[in-house]
Amino acid sequence: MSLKQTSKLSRWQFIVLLLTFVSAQLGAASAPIEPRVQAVLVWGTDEANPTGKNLKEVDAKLRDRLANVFKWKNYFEVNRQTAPLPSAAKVQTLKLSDECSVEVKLLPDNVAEVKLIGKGKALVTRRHSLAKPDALVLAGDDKNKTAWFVVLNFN
Amino acid sequence: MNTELKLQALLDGALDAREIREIEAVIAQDIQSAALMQELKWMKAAVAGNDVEAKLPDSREFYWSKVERGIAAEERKAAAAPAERSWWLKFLYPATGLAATVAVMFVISGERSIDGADSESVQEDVNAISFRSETEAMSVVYVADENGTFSPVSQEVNNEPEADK
Repeated sequence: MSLKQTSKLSRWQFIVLLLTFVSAQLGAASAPIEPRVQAVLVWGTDEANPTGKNLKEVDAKLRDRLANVFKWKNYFEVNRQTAPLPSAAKVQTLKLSDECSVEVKLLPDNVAEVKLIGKGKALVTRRHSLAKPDALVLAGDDKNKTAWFVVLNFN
Repeated sequence: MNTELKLQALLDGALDAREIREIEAVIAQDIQSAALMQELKWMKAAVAGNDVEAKLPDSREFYWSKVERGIAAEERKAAAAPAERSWWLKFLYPATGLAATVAVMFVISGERSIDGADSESVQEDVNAISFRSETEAMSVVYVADENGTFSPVSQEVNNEPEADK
């Protein structure tokens, strides 16, 4: 008798646990994905192995995309920062090097305002529509016929 | 009715007995009316005796069968001809062209509204070129720093050539 009762209780416990698990999974699935911005500072050079630093090459997909647009042979990742996109009127700052950081602000109509800060000054302010899946690439010449790239992805 | 018409009616036998008596009294008293009546009689006699008799080259049945065939041919032609366009069909082509123009303008303006969000501003001593690579799905702003002082990776990487050191 008592054994039978124990068996019933465990069955109910199992059902409750199952329902809890399912509802937790559903809740997790329905939770909105937080939009994020990823900034990658890239160095473009024709040198195969940059001396003095242990830099890794960017992933093959990004390398191909950059190489199809720009002239440099090799692209090394210098720094990578990821942060959630800020709510309206707030600014998210991603520091990529001592001299370089990026400020991102979300504007109405699904537009992001990106400021490239160099030596404390805003060199470029770019408004970028997030309606397109485009990456935003801020780039420029660097010393010795190399180049720097700040690759921003929004998702 | 004047006298001349009454004389013509008398000649045609269109008057009743009372009117006949009255016009005959006029003819008896008026010489001009009597002369006109005489001329009308001669004219009637001359025309009646010299009417041109129209003769059909075909027999009566054949003539009418030709008429019937002609009517049937006209009806077939009318049935075979395309129906007259409805009034709205006259506006179909212009309306289609207008709709296509509006659609193209809408698409173009829509693209502009998306691209319109993509704009940049730079410092006075900085030049920038922006472009978009459709194939690589990337919008690029390439900065040309005239002073050449901005080097975000120089401190992170050693890109000084050995000869310069």
